[in-house]
Formats: sequence, structure tokens, C-alpha cells
Amino acid sequence: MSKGVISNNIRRLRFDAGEMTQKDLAEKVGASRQTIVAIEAGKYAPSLQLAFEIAVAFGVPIQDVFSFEPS
Amino acid sequence: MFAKTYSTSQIVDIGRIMTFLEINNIVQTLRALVFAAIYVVWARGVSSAGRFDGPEGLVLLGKGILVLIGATVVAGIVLHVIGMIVTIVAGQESKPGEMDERDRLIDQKSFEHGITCCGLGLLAAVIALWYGWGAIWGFHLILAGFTAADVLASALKFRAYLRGSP
Repeated sequence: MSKGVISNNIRRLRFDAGEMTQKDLAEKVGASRQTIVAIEAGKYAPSLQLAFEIAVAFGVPIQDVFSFEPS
Repeated sequence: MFAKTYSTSQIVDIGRIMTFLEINNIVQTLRALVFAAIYVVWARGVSSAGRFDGPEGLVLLGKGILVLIGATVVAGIVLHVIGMIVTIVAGQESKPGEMDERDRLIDQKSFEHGITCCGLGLLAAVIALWYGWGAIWGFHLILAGFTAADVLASALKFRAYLRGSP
């Protein structure tokens, strides 16, 4: 089974949201700052629930935050 | 000569860099290793004195293990509280004991490997009994399995936190 690559625009969305800090985003979605760091760096793929919560925190649809590229 | 001492501010710096869960993981691993070393020293002393021989040996071993479990639990709680104080003083943003989905996933995966290690210890104990090594050795092997499981699970957790993913 191919795994594919999940990429994200969290860094840009944080910038667009007035340089929202990773800590602020973490508090909004109920995760630790380290988890946000890992997601942003593409090291950790969040659950669907957390992915939706991140999208809601930025007020954008989920596809504007995450994209999937099948390998 | 090689001992390095840390000032209070350096300990606070460690608390800023690492989360409570990461610090606690390292400290609890050290606790497991220290108690394993204490057990080995105690068991070797008792064994060389011939006090494990006969039916009284199992009674002594049972008492020794119970005391060790009690001391391990108390040490674990004390270290947990110290870790909480360090992270609070350091102003760490993640609250002590708070876990998110990544922490839970890391915990679960390392626990699965730890359980395998426990199972191997039990299997080794059964094989030892089969070869007539005696019940004392069976218990030693079971405890070795538990300790190895504890250390392995902690090492895997540490690696996962370094990588950022489970």
C-alpha cells in the first residue's frame, strides 16, 4: 500500500493570521506546542479530528491546510 | 572527576527545552535502571550467602521483591512530583501530565513493544524452569523482562519525541 505524502500550509496560515504563534495555535486546538511543531515540519500526520480543529482555528476549509500527494 | 553538576538555572533551562513528559520519561528510566542495579546487587549477595537455597529462599525472594516494588513506586511518585515542580518553575507551557493525541500514540506504541519484552521474560522463565534452573531463576528472568520492557519502552518514547513522530 502506498503511503503518500501529507503536506501542510500551517506556517503560511499562521503568518496570515497575524504571526500567530505555535503556542497560540496549540492552545486553540488543544494540543502541545511540540505536536504543532511536528505537524508543521511534516514529521507527524495528525488525526482527522485534529486536522479539522486546525482548519477551524484558521477559519479555512481543511483542504487549504493539508494536501495529500499519493506516491 | 567526570561528574558534572548543574545549577538551578541550568535545570530550569532543561525544563524549558523539554516537556514534562520527556523529562519524566528520562527520569523514570534512570529510576528503573537504579532499582534493577540494587536488585542485582542484593540478589547476588543473598545468592552467594546461600540464602536462596531451600524453600526459605522463595520466601526471602518474595519479601525482597515486595520491598523493591514498594520502594520503586514511592521513588516514582517522588520523582514525578519533582519533575512537575521543575516544569512549573521553568514556565513550561505544556501542563504536567497533560497528553495530546501524539503523546498518547507514542505512549501506546512504546507500551506495545514493552509488553513484548515482558512476554519474552516470561517465556525465558518458563524455558529456564523446563531446563531445571529452579524457581528463583524463573523469578529473576521475569523481573529482568519487566526491567528490560520498562527501559525499552522509555528508549522508544525518547526516540519518538526526538523524531517528532510515533
